[in-house]
Amino acid sequence: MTSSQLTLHKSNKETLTWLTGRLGPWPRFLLKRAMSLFVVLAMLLVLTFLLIYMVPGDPAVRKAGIDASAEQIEFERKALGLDQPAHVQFIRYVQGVARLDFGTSFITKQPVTEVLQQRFPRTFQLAGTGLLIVMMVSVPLGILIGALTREGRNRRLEVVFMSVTSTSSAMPEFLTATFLAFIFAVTLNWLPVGTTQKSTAIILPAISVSLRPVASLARVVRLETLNVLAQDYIRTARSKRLPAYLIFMRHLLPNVLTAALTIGGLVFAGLLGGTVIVENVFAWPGLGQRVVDAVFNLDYPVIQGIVLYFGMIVVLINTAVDILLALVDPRTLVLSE
Amino acid sequence: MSSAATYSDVRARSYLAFWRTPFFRAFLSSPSGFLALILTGILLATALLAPLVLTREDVYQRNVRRRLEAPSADHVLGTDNLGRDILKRTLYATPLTLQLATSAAGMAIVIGFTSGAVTAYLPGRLRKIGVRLIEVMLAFPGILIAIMLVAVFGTSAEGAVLAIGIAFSPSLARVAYTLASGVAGLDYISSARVLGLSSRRIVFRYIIPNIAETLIVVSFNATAAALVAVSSLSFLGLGVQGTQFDWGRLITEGVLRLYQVPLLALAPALAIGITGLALGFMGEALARGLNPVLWTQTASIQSRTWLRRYFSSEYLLLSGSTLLLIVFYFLPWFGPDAADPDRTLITGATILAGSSNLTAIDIGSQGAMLLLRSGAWIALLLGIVSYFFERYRRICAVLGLICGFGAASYFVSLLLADFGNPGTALASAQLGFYFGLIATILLILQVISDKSAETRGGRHAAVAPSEGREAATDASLPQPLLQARGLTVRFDLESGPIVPVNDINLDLAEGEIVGVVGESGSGKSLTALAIAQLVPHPGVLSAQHVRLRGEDITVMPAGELRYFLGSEMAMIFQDPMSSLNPALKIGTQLTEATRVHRRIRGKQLHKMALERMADVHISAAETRLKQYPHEFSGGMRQRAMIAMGLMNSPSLIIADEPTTALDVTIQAQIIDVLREINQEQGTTIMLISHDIGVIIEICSRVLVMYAGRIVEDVKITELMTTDKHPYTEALIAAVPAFDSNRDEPLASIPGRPPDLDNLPAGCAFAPRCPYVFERCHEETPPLLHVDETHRIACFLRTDPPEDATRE
Repeated sequence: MTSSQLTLHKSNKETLTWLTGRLGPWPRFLLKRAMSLFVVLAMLLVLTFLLIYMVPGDPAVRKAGIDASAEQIEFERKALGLDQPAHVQFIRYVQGVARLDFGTSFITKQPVTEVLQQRFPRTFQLAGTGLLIVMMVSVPLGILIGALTREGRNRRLEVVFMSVTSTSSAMPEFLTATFLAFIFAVTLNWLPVGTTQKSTAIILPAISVSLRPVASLARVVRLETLNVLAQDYIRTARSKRLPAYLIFMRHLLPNVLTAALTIGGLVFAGLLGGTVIVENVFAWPGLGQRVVDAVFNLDYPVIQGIVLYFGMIVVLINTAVDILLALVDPRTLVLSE
Repeated sequence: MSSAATYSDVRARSYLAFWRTPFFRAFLSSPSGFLALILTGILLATALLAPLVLTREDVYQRNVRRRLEAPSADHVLGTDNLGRDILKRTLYATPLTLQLATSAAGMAIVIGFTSGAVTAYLPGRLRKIGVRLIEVMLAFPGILIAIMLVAVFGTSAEGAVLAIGIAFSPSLARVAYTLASGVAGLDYISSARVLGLSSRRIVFRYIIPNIAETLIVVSFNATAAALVAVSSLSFLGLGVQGTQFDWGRLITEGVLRLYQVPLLALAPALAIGITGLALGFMGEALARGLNPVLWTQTASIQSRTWLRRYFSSEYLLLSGSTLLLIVFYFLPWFGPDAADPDRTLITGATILAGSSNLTAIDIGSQGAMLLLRSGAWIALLLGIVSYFFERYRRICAVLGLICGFGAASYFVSLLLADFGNPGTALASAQLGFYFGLIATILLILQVISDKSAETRGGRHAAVAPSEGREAATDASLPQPLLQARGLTVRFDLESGPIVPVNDINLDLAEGEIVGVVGESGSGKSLTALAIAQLVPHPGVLSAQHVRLRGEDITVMPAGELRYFLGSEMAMIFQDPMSSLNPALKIGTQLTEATRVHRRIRGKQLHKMALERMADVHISAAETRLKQYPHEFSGGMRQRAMIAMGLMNSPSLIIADEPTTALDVTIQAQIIDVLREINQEQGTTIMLISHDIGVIIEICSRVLVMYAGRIVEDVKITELMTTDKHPYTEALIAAVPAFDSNRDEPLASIPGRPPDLDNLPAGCAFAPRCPYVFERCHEETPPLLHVDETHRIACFLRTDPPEDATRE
């Protein structure tokens, strides 16, 4: 049977398998990632589109104002396209998103794209610094504690580590922020709060936002370290009498990093969530402050825009992590089949 | 045996009083269980009592004249911007906060668990979509979804609860999905199904007990997360509205006045922190209590032991110093004069002492403050040191005692005596010093007496192993490649010590292949690890000596040992699948030891690697070196392991069950490769196996191990002809031969393999031995020569009783 016959007679799914079967492992992997990225983005678009139907009240009324006349409301309804059937609205919505046009705010009449452009860099700065702190602290810490507590050594250190991390991972961001502000800004007066002029102003918000992920990632890294250290191949490495730095850097680290990376995407998503809260404590002018205002005022386009934007970033980061994982660990390419 | 069976078995025996059940013991076996009980008790009591004790007036009545006050007798934590009592408001908010958190968590749990479990039982394609949906939701920050959903449900307490209930369900759904799809596929579930148990019984008897532990922990974590989320939403103003208030909302008010009245924000923040801690501890302790595997470990810990543990010196030092530091550094900030914390303390102390001479106090007590404060820091340091390092625990306790005595007597004297008179203070300080001196002398005496007891005990232990009876024959043999004397590995477990390798004496001659055989648990693998100086923690290795090429490796310095063993000894392990690092290329793993120990690099190293690959018959070695282990077949991996071992041309290869994980045809390949290496390169091989057939095929001599001892040392050629140890006889009888009658059941060794933590007195094999007589139960038979090359540890062979009927 020739391949053309095959494509003609078999179902779509098999065509796909045939197609991907022809490609090398890398293109095949990337194609699969791209497809799942597309599916997730589509889901995201549908969900944010549906938001406008789920929210109680009539968007047109909301935009026109409570004391608007029937004509004005009708006019706004037309302007928002709400008189069209749902599928037409959805197509328009998707077209808008494709042009990076998320509509205009009901309250400030500012285009949502402009809001994003102004505010997102600050949020990204905060989340990015947070991620940097998380990776720099939790991976070495987790490996160190893991190495010290392997095979049930140093039980007390383990107890201390577990209680410190479980306490810190249960600390909500706004609590950490409050405590940190109290200690370093109010009591010791070392670091500024509320101003964004000084470059040191990012320290407290960044620490507040990263404490929880540091604790949880450090725990994961420690567990993974213990897991790897208990593997037979570490025993093999020890039986070869390799020096400790080789055992740790060559045999342990790549295997541990894979695990850290896998949840790295989730950690970043968590950081983005944390910024929403922390921005409100430290008056950090990012998207977090804006989204809360928008929810208060039921400013749909802004909520929609911000949620969609955050969602896209999370999805893109997760895809990037997947690709990075495949680069670090060649098995992923085979296993993802 | 499945853990489900264990669980229900133990449950069924629960005639014990509740506090003595293994569940409760395991629950309390670490401080977290203890704290969980106390904190939860306090929280529940507050939640129940606060609305009864406090009236609405207590928390809503404004009193603007007394706004933003510091803590006082009237208002323990001060007042807020409307003059309302902070403590009362925080306590009053407890029931509402807990109610919101638990209902949000409850919703998330119900939605999450149901949808997760349902997804697990969906047919193929739908299930895939469901899983994908859960994953997408999970990738999204929960709090952001919650904020978006608040827009849908409206900004109110109910809206916040609904929003969080939905937003936090995906993570629970995934847990439920994983558990449901995992448990349903497990062996014992399928066997229960085959046995015809009803679905209901399967669910309640097998599935629920097995996933209950995880579900409970996850539920507690979810409640903690929900508490945080509800408070966050309230804090943002998206939760509780109107005159109602929860902790989150109190914090919003407090953050605005953080500089004026810090307690306004810190009190509810602390309340959230404590609740989160209680929930986390509760989940952890319950998980421990519900895990039957941990019961046996904690069962040995008597209730008195943990009580004593909490009141031991290191805990006292830590808690005492922390308390002092809180008093010195934390509390004064809330006093009337935040700028001068010392004054707050001094005033407090004066009131306590009933004195009113404030100026006099000032002079004497500035010094006292300094002393106490530094004392507290030192005590904290001592506490930390003694917590982690058992060795310094006693000296720290005594030093802490000195600090305590000194500081306390100084402070008491200052309070009670004439404050203006430094003489009194000095006298009391001297008193403290003398106390300390006496304590130090006592300590030194004790340490000395301990040390001498230790050395005495140590020497005693070192003499004990069987020597002497070997010495005479040793001299007649040529110097062996490996000689171990009195090799012992001991594990001091909480349940008592076990000795899985007990006083092993062995010699391996140059170029020999020696087999070590025994059932699992006989200590053969651990013997190999002990020879290689790789005993796993917490095992303790002791030996008179282990000589390799005449060098005693038990006393060699670490650096030298690494080089020596790295080039003289190689090990091959059972499972080639897991013994090679999956993330590294075969080439890297093959060459790294040579690069490190022999400093060979580049082309020469590559050539060596190719040669070794050829030695073990791996073709296309050039490409193979660039591949990862997952691209190799099982037999090829094991050959690569052998090639890796050969890289440094070691004089000894220890192969620990190298064929067990492979199928029969591959086994033969590996055996051939080992034999070739032995013949061509003269490498000594110690081959460990539970399969005496494999050993007979390749070895020249076999060591038979039972319960951590060598019970027989015999040449393979003599194995079939001479009288043997009864255990060896049984091992050989258990090997099926080609000509054995297939209709007869396979021979097996009657009785159970020995239980190392409960060995019988005398010969460990006695309970299973067909020739057992009285002496076997009384004495442990020593390993003695019956002829030049044959050693047996059995009275029947070495010292037969007169009335014993042979065979």
